[in-house]
Amino acid sequence: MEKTTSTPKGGLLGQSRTRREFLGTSAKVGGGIAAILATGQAPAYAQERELRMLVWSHFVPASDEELERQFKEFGKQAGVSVRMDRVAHLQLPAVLAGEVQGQKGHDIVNVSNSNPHLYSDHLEDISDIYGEIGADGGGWTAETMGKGRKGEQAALPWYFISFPLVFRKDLIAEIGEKVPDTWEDVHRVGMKLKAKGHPLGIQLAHSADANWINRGILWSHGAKLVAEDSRTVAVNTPETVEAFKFVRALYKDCMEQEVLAWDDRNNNVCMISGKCSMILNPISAYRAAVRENALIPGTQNLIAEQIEHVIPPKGPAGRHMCASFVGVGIWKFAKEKELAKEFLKYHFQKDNQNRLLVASKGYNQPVLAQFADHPLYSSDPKYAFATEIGKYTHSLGWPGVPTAAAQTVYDQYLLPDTLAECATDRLSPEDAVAKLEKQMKRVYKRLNRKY
Amino acid sequence: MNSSRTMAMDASTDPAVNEAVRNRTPVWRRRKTTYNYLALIPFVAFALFPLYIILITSIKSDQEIANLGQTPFWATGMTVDNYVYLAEKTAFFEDWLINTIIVSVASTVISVSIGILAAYALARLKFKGVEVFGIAVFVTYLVPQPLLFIPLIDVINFIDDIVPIRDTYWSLIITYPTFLTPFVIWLLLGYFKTIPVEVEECAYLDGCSRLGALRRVVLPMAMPGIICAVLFAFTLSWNEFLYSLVFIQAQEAKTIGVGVFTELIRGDVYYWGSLMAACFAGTIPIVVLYSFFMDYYVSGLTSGAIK
Repeated sequence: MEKTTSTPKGGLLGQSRTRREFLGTSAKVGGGIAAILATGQAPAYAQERELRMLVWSHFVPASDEELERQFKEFGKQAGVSVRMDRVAHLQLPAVLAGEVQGQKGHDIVNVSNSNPHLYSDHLEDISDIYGEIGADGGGWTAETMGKGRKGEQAALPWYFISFPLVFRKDLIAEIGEKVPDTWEDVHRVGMKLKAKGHPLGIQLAHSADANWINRGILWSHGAKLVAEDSRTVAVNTPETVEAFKFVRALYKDCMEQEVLAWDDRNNNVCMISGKCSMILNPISAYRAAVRENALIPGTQNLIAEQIEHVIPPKGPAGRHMCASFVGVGIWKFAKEKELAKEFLKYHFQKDNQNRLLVASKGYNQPVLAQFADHPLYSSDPKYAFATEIGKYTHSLGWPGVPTAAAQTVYDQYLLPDTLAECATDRLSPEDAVAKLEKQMKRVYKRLNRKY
Repeated sequence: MNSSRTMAMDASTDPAVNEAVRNRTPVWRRRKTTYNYLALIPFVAFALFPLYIILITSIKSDQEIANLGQTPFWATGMTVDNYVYLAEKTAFFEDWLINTIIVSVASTVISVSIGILAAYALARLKFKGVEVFGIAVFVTYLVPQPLLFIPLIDVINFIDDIVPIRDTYWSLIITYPTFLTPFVIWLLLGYFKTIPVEVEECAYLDGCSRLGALRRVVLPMAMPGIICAVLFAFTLSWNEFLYSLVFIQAQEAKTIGVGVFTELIRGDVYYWGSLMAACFAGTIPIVVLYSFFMDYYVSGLTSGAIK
């Protein structure tokens, strides 16, 4: 052991070091670091005022570009530097969780659906600017959105992403049918089109679309996952069983097995490739078909010209669909809270909101009444559904509000999983609903205590 | 010895000699070689198929990718548009690739340096708790990253308050060794144990210190294991996603994995062509590295397994 520090031919890196010298040097280095730590003084360049915003990578890149333009413009006017960061939408929860844990990060953050409820303790109450912006914009059309656990406004509703029925008008015309208006129509038309090799495509797998669309089907059949108090599981009803039976019939008669393994992109691919006749999806499938100049197989005809959208089908209990409601909030630990509020007021001005909506090509569906009938939607028949769909669109947790428990049920894909088990006859509709209820009760019991 | 090797090399490159050797090779041996190579074909095809599909998809137009009526195994209208998109519309070549190389090289150097010293100590030195340390290293390696990233954020934020490292690759260079070092130690521990201690004792007799013996005798003998550890550490760093996602959001500081996800996956819209181009371009450095050190890699993996 002694040889380690006292060597005839030199120690580490060929230089002689006694143990005493080694300890002396280590003490000096350690002392230096301790001195830096003790001052806790950040370099001057880090102390400049900077407003930082974190958003997801938007489905339409031009929307990000317009948002960044506005952000920079605001920074120029306010005399501060700004930085807009983006992450993919599926990775956003991990980044938010990291920022909350460290109590450090961006000032303005993209908090959607149940996140304002989940992060209520960490988000600034912005009820003041919520009221101002709502009054200027003709009122909010998504009044339950962005609420914290105490009813405070933890985030501003930003826009929502709806799920119209997307269909190939040429294929429906070929079989002499009219555009489906009810879920029964979808079933009937879907059966005929599947026989012609053009199935219906609704995910019964671990994907966001599966969560949104299948909630819509349940609600249209009079079923609900949770009661109006947002805390009581209310899924085990005859209506839910009927809805499960209907989804099973849709799967067996109108769809192919592949929907059991689909993620969010697969229904787009199925539609753009010319295979699927109907899907439920935001306009991204159509936009992708336009961008890729996708052709109808075996022809030189553009598939985008044959794609149309209508409001979601009606069920026995009416027309209902679930949608993603995107919000924007300010962390309590943000360094520039006042500046962040100023930016949000600037960003929600009519002109800026208008530009963002246009840049997103209508993808960002407005939550302020003054934009509900935006000219963009009347300029293109493909978007005709957009002015109406808001009436039938609800958030996660409906008929209650989006809560952390509702988000957990969503994140664990409890509904798609039990529906898939029912559709593939691994569970009867009654057993599948009972299983869903049991799983949901476990989640709500735990989270109702906590939140 | 050198002259005899030179002669041997001259002989092997002489076409006449090669022809003579071929003529003298028995038929059964040539047949056996042919069968061996034939038997390898399905395995090679299986292993390379994903890479092939990545390459083919990356040179297809968007229209062709969307067309399920066409064969996925060949591109009819080849294009470099996807690579051009990657170069012009994203920071792939400009920032992400360079950041990934810097982070991977730096964290590999740090981890392997620490790992060599730690593994050597655990393999050779006799001190109280050495066995427990060895097991602790292994257990540390088993802790999943999604559990570690939360406390590590506090560490990074603490350092960031003093020296701004958030949103720079330094946050990764500091954190990657937390999962690389246990792995390197675990790999090299087994390897060092296979090197006879007598060789080291000879070095001590010749006047070497412990560290001198390590540097002059043990490390050269352990080179296959070390290269194996380098390759593994480099690949793990190259592919790491979670820390990179959580510690870095600035576009210009991202690594390939996170950058590609951010720019080329937009909700339910996947930019398939550019994604595949990014996958292919991002694979090349790893392929080059492995092709140079494959022999070391294989022997490093197997030698450490036995005593």
